[in-house]
Amino acid sequence: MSMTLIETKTLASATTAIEFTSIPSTFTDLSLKMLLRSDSNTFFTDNNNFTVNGTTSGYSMIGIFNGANSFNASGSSIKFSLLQGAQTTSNSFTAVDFYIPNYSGSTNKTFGWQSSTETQTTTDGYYIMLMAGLLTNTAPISSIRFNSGAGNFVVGSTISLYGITKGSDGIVTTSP
Amino acid sequence: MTEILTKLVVDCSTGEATEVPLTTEELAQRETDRLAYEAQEAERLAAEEAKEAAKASANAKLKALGLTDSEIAAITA
Repeated sequence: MSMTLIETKTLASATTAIEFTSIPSTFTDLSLKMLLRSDSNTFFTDNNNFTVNGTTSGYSMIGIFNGANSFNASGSSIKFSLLQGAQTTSNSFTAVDFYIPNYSGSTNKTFGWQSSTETQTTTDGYYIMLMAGLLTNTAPISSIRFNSGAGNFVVGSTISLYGITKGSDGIVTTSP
Repeated sequence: MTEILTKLVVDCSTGEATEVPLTTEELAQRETDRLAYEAQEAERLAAEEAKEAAKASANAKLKALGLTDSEIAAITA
């Protein structure tokens, strides 16, 4: 398996959404690694969401919050994090690790990701979320968009998109 | 002054990143998402409250039958 950086961006100004377009279809899977923070005047926001290909229907997700509380949702988008807000420790971010298998295939699309807060303190709170999502749409993914929901993603937020190729040398291999 | 909401669009074919204002449709979708989130949250909180109320009611009935708190905890944990 090899991992290729497609694009990485660190915000120089606050913005409410980040969207990757014209994603090449040449990889096996996609992975995103993000450090995000909201300027919303609260500890955490959880009405953020992501969409792919501009599609606004057919999403569902299940998740576990702090290992104890499960939740599920469906609708026009999927929540991707419990995002740190302006009341948490300055210059700290929420880390999100995101994976999209077979993104350019012609089957329904699935997503797996985890999110955890950088500052694990009694003041800021201890949070980790593990989630899985489904989009009942078979179109290959050529764009993906993350919306802050409340407020903006702050300056310094970083998002990197990687292409994953099966096989240790970039070649798809199978075992007999 | 009204804040102009923007998005950062990163074109993977060129590497070019452009910050542009949200369109009218995107602003409407953002509002739709916000309302959907609020409705979902209200539903979740109502379900949690109903569950807590049922739990309190069940505990009260068990106590009325003569069970102690530790006995109730033993059968409900």
